[in-house]
Amino acid sequence: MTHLHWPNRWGDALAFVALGFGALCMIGPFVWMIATSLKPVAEQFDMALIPATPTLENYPRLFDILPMHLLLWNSFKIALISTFGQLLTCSMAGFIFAVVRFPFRNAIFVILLLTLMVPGQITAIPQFIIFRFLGLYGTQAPLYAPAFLGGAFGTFLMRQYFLTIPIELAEAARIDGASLARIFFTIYLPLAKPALAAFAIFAFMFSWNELFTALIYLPSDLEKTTLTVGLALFQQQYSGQWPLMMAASLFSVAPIIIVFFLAQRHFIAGISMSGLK
Amino acid sequence: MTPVSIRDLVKRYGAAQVLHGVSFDVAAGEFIALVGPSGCGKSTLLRMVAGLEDITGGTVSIGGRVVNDVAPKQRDIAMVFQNYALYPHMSVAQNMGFSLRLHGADRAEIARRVAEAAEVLGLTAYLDRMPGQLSGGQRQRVAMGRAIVRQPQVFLFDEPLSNLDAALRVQMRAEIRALHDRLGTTSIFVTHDQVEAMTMADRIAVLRAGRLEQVGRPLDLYDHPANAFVAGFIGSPAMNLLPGQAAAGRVVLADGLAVATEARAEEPVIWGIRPEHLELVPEGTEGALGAEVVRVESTGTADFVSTRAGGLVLDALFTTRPALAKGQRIWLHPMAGKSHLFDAETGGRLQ
Repeated sequence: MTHLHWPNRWGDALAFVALGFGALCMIGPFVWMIATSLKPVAEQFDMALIPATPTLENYPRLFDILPMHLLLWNSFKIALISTFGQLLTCSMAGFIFAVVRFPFRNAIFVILLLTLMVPGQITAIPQFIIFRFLGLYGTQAPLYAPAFLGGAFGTFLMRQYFLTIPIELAEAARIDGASLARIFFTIYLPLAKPALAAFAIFAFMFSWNELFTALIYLPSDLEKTTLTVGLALFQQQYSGQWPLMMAASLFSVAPIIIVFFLAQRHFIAGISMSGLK
Repeated sequence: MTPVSIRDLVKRYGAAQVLHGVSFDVAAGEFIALVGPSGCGKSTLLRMVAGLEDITGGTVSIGGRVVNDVAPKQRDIAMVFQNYALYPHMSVAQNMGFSLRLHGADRAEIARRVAEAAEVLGLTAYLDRMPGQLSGGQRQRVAMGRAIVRQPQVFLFDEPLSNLDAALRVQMRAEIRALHDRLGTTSIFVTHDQVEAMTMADRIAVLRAGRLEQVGRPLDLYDHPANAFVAGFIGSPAMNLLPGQAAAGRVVLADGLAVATEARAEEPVIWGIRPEHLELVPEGTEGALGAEVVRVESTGTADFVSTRAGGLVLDALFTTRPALAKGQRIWLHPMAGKSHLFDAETGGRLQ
């Protein structure tokens, strides 16, 4: 490498400053959240980033107030089942849309995409009636069962990825004697690992952060409900106690951050692939 | 060994018709090449034989059995694709053994047959590699290996050499033909390269715009093209095809430019002569055409000379290395019995 030229250096420096500023804006509230969660309640309105008398007491207090371990477990379980359901059904649907030719394929696909424009609030009431009819009100099933019925976003994401796999692979496999299911499970699914990983994070995050549906079906049963509902309840009762609130918030985002760091590479690949920002 | 029979094959995509009733037979153990310009329907035809495209009309029979409604896996065929279509996440051995595995062969049997095929194709050292670690030529061989491991009734090749560089293409051409001579399996080979077709095939079927123009042995197509299209398509460099007017034992190509031919009624015709069938003769020779040299391209083996004669382009090919320069006036004489006459309207052969 030769020395950098001056204009380049200035350009780089400028970019560095701009990006640094952006990073600060992003990370600032997060740092503040951590800082506040480490303050005693008496200090909560100090503007200091570093607590004068740092304490961990807010964390055990959380567990006294709420069954945090249950909430965490419920959220985790529901997110895991939902993610599995989404991965399975969306990749199957995406595969069919990408590989199999059938009448009205594109029309059906467009209709599927149109469902993305229907807000969840509109389907909430009919869905509620259905689940109540099935006797599932008050159980966790309504939070993960719909994930097994596919989804427009995941189907779109997986279809786009499957389209990048040369169709000749499917044709060669057909001639080799593979059934459609075999082609899906032994050829397409293994090749779609990057897309699956990215979509898994999307789906997990979506389920983890979900509040609306959980509030409908499990508004108050702390044995069964999710962390988000727990936090919402907590917010009503302890609204003045910011250090506690922040400790609870930190608890709710920590798993997502851990998952993200574990699969960061795939996640970014997935975003650039779906054209999302 | 299995014959393949194609009868009145029609393919339509909605309103667009791609094949207009194509019929030909492939004898048991024969190597037939399907050639034609891009978009002529040759790949579609092959895919219909494979079972990857529905058949709109007509029949495809393999070994005397009509297979129109038979799934690809039950047709007992193997296909080699232009992009090889190797499974990227499987090793060479797994790629080659995949179909055997699907057909329930046991491990030892698969290993034995994969090893055999690898031996034939010189792939033994690469069995544990992934396709991504192989060169183009090696991938091509794996694709071949995947086909031969199954010992199918028919091999189908869809432009398998187009992705290779020129030298490798020539080499693989010979290897595929040698493999065919050894295995004797009926083969249908699609290509847009007439040189590939000429050098590899027992017979060639020329397609244009979804219609079969001619089927025959390579040299028959070269010597007796059934129409102007085949005449221009088969042979490199391409045949000179010049419009003219037949009259009293000659064809008038342009003002003061005429060639002798058998007596015909007066009618517009297309006169054809291959570049290699034009001789360089001294000025004033009976029946010679005066021409001006426009361009000389020498490959060492032969000199390709492009000329203008009476406003028409006339190409010639000499192997004698005559000293010719751009702008020089020369005299070209069509060799006796080597010219072709085609109907100006239908393009059909007239002799």
